[in-house]
Amino acid sequence: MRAGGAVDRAAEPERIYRARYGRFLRVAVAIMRDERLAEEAVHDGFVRALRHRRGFAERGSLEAWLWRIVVNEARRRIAAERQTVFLEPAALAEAAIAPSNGHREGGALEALVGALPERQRLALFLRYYADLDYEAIAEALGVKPGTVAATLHAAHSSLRRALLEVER
Amino acid sequence: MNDRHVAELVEGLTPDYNERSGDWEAVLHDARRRRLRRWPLRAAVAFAVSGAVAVAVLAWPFQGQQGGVLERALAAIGDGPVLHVVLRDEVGGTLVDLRSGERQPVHGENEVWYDIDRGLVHSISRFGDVVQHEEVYEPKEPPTELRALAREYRQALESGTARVAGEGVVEGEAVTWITIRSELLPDVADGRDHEWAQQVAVSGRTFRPVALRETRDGLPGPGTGQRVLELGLLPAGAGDFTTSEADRRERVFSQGREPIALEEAHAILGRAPLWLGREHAGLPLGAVFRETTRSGRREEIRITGAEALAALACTRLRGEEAGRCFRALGRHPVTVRPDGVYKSSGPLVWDDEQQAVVLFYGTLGDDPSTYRKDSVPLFDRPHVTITETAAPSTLRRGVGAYVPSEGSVLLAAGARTGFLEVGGVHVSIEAPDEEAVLVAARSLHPMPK
Repeated sequence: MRAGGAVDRAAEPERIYRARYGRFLRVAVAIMRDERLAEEAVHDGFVRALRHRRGFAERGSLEAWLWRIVVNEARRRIAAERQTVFLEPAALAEAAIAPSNGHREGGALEALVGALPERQRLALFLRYYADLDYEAIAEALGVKPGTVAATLHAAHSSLRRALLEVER
Repeated sequence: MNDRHVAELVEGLTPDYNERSGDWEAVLHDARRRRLRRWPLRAAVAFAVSGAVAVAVLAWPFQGQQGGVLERALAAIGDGPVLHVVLRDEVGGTLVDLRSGERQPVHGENEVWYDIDRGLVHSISRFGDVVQHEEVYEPKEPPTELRALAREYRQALESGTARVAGEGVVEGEAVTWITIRSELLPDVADGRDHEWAQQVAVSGRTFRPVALRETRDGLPGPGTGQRVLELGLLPAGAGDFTTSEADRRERVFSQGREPIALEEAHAILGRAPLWLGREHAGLPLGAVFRETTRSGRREEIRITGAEALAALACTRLRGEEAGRCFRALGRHPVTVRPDGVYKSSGPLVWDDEQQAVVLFYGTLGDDPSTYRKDSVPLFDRPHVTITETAAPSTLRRGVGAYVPSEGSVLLAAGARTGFLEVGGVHVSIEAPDEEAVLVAARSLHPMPK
């Protein structure tokens, strides 16, 4: 019951939302592979962020904190969706050839990225879709910057190896 | 395989959504609506439930005179079916007189009437006495939180259970802070539990609640303080349930910038723009933009048949189940009203547009998407941004429709943004700190033609 204050406390998140909405949506789509669910994840992530604004300890970057919440929201939702999806027979046949991580068959590269460990995938998305630097990615994923560097290096290596195998 | 190769590979995997603007108003609306529920609900639970939470019998001014204190508190809030509450936020803005430097706080307030018998809520948000958002609505379900505050608050006062957290002063008035609820809540960001508590300050003079705050791990949360300006239960038929402002829930907004020549700024505003010269505080005038902000709404289309029946079935569900049911209907919001079922899936109609002139003082960098040299403002370097409109915009961050008196600047958003009006031009200044904002505000002057 604090709309006036909410307006003020919402100013910085609003600036980030308006400036970066497309990037938040792109990362959420990359995680969830469903545009509608991704829109909901970004929306609910920011709603949760505003509600929990006091939970932001002001020690790090507000934007990284928002990324963390949206990424967690997308992960939480995709986990929930997997438990509640009811498939038609035709979709069951399609699902049978899809990788177990839930990604659809959409080209070799998509499958390769989909097969990466989750942290590597998230680091890739935050690096190339959100254009975050290592420090911001570290804050968003709750790891050390050095871990981000190692994670991205591992992702690059995995992709390189896998692409070479595909090309053979 | 280096960074660039990976970027090129990954680029085509997921569509680019840079043209999407989202719906910030919907985010704010949902946050505000859920926020509205939190305090009173938990307060009521805390007051009404004993044993489940850490609760202790009051052990200070109330001891020995507890009955008298609670009776006076009960008498003060009344016992009617219409709740009226006015809360003022601790955090707002600071109005600074540009000549004298005199400062005064500007607060946000929220006023709510809730008529339990009629199931009607009237909520008004203000900033500096200017209405920012107002709506009268009939909740689909009885708002438990408001009903709780209206009804169980009395019972809670009678139960007299609480935990004294300490004494303090609120605006010169001696108060005692009482913890009315504490619990371990997970932080969505770090995934760990933190002790979160809600506290109320009771006046040592009148024994009425005068302030609320929230603490995290024992420390007052920044920006969580609220002054209680009014809290009462009015007789049946009392209260204000009229509003003149249309419901803006379904409105959507978009904003875009395009570079323009400095000479075009005058025509966009229809008057002489204000500026800081070709250079300000060592920062060159790097770029000038036209910023266009549009708002509108998606037209509703009436739906019938199986789709409408499916929506009606959703209204019979509750909570998460209802949410899942409605989401399964599609991406467009569906509204069930007495006159039919509607889906907001029609064409987007923009009915409001405002143009602003943006002057960027600072360093320009290369545009990574077009490889154009020195074309993008670098907001991570020292800079001052001046945004001007010919009319106040309700979309201004932090202050909405509030306009400071001429000769004053309102500092908001951590004092890194200033708002002022000069000769009919509405200006916002963004700079790295308060001093830079004030220096820029004092340096503004009309741009020669």
